[in-house]
Amino acid sequence: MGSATTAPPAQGTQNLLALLRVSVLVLIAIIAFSSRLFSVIRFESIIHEFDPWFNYRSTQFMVKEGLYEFWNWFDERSWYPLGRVVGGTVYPGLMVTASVLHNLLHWFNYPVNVREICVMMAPLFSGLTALATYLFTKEVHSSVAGLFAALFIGVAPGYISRSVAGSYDYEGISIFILMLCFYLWLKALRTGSALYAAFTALTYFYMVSAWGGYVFIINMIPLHAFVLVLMGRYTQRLYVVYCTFFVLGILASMQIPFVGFQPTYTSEHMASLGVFGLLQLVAFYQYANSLLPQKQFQLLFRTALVGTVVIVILGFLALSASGRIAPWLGRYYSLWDTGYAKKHIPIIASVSEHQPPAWSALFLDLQLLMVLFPAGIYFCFTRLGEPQVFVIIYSMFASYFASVMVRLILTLTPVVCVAGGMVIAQLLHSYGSPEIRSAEATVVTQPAPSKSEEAKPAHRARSTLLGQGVVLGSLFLVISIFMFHSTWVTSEAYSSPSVVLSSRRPDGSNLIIDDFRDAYYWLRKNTAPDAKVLSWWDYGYQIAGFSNRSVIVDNNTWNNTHIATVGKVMASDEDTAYEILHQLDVDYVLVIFGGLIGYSGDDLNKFLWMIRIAQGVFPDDVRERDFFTASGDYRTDDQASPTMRDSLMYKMSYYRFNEMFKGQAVDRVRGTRAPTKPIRLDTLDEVMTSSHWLVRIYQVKKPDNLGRSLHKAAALGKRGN
Amino acid sequence: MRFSDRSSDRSIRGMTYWYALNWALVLVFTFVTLVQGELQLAQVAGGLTVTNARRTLDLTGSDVREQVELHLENTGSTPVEHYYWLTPASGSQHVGLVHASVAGSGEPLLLVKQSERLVDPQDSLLYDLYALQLPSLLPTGGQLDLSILAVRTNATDPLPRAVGQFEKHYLVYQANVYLDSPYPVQKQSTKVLLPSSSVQSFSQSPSPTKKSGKTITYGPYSSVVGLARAPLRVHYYQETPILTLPSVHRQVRLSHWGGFLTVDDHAVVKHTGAELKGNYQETLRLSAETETGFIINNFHMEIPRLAYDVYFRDEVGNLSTTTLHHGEKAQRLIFQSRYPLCGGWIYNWNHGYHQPLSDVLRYDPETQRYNLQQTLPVLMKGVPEEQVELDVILPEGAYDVQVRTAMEIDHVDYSTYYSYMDSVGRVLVRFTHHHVVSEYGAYPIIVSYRMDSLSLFLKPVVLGLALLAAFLLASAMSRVNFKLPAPPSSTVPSKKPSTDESNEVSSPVKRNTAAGDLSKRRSKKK
Repeated sequence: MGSATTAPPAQGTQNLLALLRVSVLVLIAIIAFSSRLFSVIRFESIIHEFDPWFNYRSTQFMVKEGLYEFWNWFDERSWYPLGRVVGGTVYPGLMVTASVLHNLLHWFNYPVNVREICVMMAPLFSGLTALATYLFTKEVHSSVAGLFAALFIGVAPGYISRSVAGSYDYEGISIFILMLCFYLWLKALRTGSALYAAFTALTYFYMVSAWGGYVFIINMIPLHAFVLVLMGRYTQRLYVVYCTFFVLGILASMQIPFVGFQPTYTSEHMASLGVFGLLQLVAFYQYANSLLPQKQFQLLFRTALVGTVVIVILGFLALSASGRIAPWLGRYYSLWDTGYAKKHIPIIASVSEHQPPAWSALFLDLQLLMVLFPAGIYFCFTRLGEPQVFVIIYSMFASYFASVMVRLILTLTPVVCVAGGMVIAQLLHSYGSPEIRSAEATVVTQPAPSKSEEAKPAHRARSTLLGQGVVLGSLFLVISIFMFHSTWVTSEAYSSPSVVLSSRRPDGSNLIIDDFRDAYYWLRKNTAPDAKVLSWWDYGYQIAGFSNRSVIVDNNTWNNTHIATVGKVMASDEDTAYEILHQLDVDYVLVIFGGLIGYSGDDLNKFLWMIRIAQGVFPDDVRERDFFTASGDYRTDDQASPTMRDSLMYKMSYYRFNEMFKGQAVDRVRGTRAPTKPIRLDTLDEVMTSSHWLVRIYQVKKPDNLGRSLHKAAALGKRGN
Repeated sequence: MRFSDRSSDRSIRGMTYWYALNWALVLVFTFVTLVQGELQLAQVAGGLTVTNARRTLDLTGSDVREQVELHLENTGSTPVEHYYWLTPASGSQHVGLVHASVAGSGEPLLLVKQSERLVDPQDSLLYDLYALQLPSLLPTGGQLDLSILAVRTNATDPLPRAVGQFEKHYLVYQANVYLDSPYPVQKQSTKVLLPSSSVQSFSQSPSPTKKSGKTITYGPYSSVVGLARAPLRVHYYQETPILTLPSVHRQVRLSHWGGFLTVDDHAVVKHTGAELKGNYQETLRLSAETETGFIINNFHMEIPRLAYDVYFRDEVGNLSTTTLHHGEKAQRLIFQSRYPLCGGWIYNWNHGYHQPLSDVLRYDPETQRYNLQQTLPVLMKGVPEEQVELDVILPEGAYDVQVRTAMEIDHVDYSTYYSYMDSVGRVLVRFTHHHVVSEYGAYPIIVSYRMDSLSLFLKPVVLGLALLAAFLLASAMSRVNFKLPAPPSSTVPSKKPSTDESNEVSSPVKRNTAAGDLSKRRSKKK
């Protein structure tokens, strides 16, 4: 990459360069921070989506009650009547970080709301991610590449998608920890320093405390070590660093209650253990090699090798068969077999971010970087050191995972940015330096993928200058386009809080649709404090956060049966549903209906998944087939199947809808006429319908005094009238 | 405007002293209330006769306004200093305000609520007693016109107590037909103003009574003795919602640096009309032909004309339906609650703004004091507030704080408040008052303090020192070598020469050489 003639710059120039580097990095961090603020400016400082609401709520709890109380927090507001032991079922890193930040600022008498901290957390850590990526890339390539990589990660939509202001989720801080951990690992490996290995382990601990994606680290680093051993690059440094990291890291990770003893028995952690064992063997091999004569050593080696392999395989099989080594979790299975979830675990398949991405999604998220990525990997191959091997492995695995699950584009993005930074740095180096006009130009630019090298010596100077200009100009152009693209994608696709919707009035002015919050606030203010709300699990965290009421199921989908029960309520006819509602002690039922304004993410569109999940547990009571028409269509208008028309979900969605519009109602989501037959609800009372009908809340009636079914009671009452 | 000097001239320095005194006073008051003195009619009613009393009871709003025009004459033998104003002490209603002036002039007269109560010997009914100081001693035979306004909150009751979403709402108001007066009244009449002409019933005795349109007139009656009573009861149709603000908390923070005042209000509004029977149904409301008007979701507030950076939120975020309208004297903040407010429902919110300091703060070069003028927060016109807290947070470095108020305030407390990187803290003055009505918006509260211009620089200096300390620490750290002394021999494995790079910090030169070698190798291969 460099020309051999470049002399080390003078001290003064070096200082200046360092200052420049720091200021560029700071600027990049600022850009990374501010390009994530679209949603705050357009809407407000609000927590987005679903999961962040739980994180926000638990952060509030932690700030108020302290860490100790948090560990013991039994949340009776969720999973009624089961409850949830939050301390033991959560990665607390995010909340701890936020509350530490909060308490620190308050210690300095700087009054800042918990909400503001939570909202700004992801942008703040994105700035830090840019710094970590710089360090990482510097370790792999050069500081120029580092600066470009930092710039790319700062604005890459693939990362922004999960780290805009308000998106207070694990991923927001985890990518920073991930890059920092990898940087420290490479640095430790280069220096062979146990100290840095310990830092790596500490960072790993932070990662374990912050995100389930720590599994990626605990597989990547052993894999790197393993590949290095296979490549014959075993060194003492590797031994020291890996062993330090592994022992400290695993011990530290077991301190998180949610992880507990998992590192000792789950398959996700077995690779690291295996590599740890392998390194001991290799170290012993080297040691023995230096002591024994050649012949005896060969014999010993072969016997030992065969013996070890046989023992390891038998041991693994035995442990797996006896169930000592836990099977992989469903989500990990779906990483290997993309059809797995669809067949066996509908609840995982029902989440859109667990689907394989379309090619366009990858391009939307990475754009220019998609093109630079392979070139960067190519450059890694041209100079295959330890860090380069790491980047190659990282990119292979991350690419695979990203192509399997949409949300894992997130883990791919950093390495793509690193590769992109390397390519740009390489191009700049080849075309950017003034010395290129000298005679060595040909030699220097050789590795760069260019084809402008046929000029004759006489015209070389001028044509090189021209070539330089063209290459640099187009480079500048594509990077600018990338910047514009990123900003555009961020502002258009990723900056909606999803709690608040935005629309246009006919006159073009902005209309904020605030139905969710209106309805949730109504629940908060006008229902009994111990009221139980049943809704589909998507809205569980939001109801707990906005309304402070107990929910039956929420986004922590740990109990499939409970969720299936809710699905069954929605899919059953009124009498069956009422029985379950009564058993579950439900006071209110909440449904999302987008038919009036054309909000396509409503419950009727999710209904099929509810049916499927319910069918998985109650195959006798709920059958997906019954909800389709005779011709196999999923219809909700007058031609809907009888089971569909009887289902509670259907009734709650369309209740009084047609009457409102004098029989002219059109369901704008499904593009059909609303059912024209008046819908009767005997077991539920409508109590709240938000102004755009997005949220409809029903109160469950008290059981009939005479013990009749409410259905019959209502029928009798009708006759009486 | 006359200022009662109840809480004046108190410096922070003497606060401990003051607290002790305060507690002593509180104890004394508690004692007094426990064995509350009761006065007999004869003890207060000396001398005066009311020759004419015209009374108007205004029921159109959320509070009940009693306006009385009095014509007094001293029929006794000695000059009279006080007129005693009575109001029944029983019942759930509260007197928000009594305001008295000589008719024709706006100048308020000093009114002091007495600790003793007056007892009616016939049925031992208790009256609260306000001593109204006449502008001058009224000599025998002297005459005077007085104008008294009393605003009462929580004075009406819904009947029936709960109604359905589409039913009409009726309220009941009960009072005395006659003026509550310790003095004999020669001639009087009472007029009741109603929000609409629709009335379920009203008490028709003592005659004459007359209803025409939206008014009911009782009287005129002549020669009524002191403490005379006859029940007045009106059961009338109310088409506008009855609102109350159960709690209002305003925080006012001064910044001499920024030159603005930060105002932050937290408020709760409650619909205190008839409660909603059954469930509220939005879909029915949308399709309903008729509106009863008793359900409200539009609220108006006035904020100062020069206010800027206005925000409006509730516990779950911004309220996007809020709009701001500029007017001549004030800006109007109009918001829609997240859901329509039915009877018995509450909604709470938080709004605030910045206001230029020049609007409210004056510097008096003579006394070298800053004077801040505020009032108790009156958020919505005509909506009574039950409990009001006003926190005035002075800038860091303010001292010698004095408070002057134009009316009695239930509590005034001092404490220290820390905000925005304060080092020594700020003085917080908290005014707590109950039953605040709209008129309080005209009663100023003056907080006056001294501040040296040097203390403006306290914060930058503290910050600067902190930064300097951090730099010094960093600078010292960078000069100390924390590394262990190098081990004597090659026992450390990492010191061994390794296959590729050495353990120096990544130097571009090394890398460049490696790459250069590679490219050379390549060209050789070619």
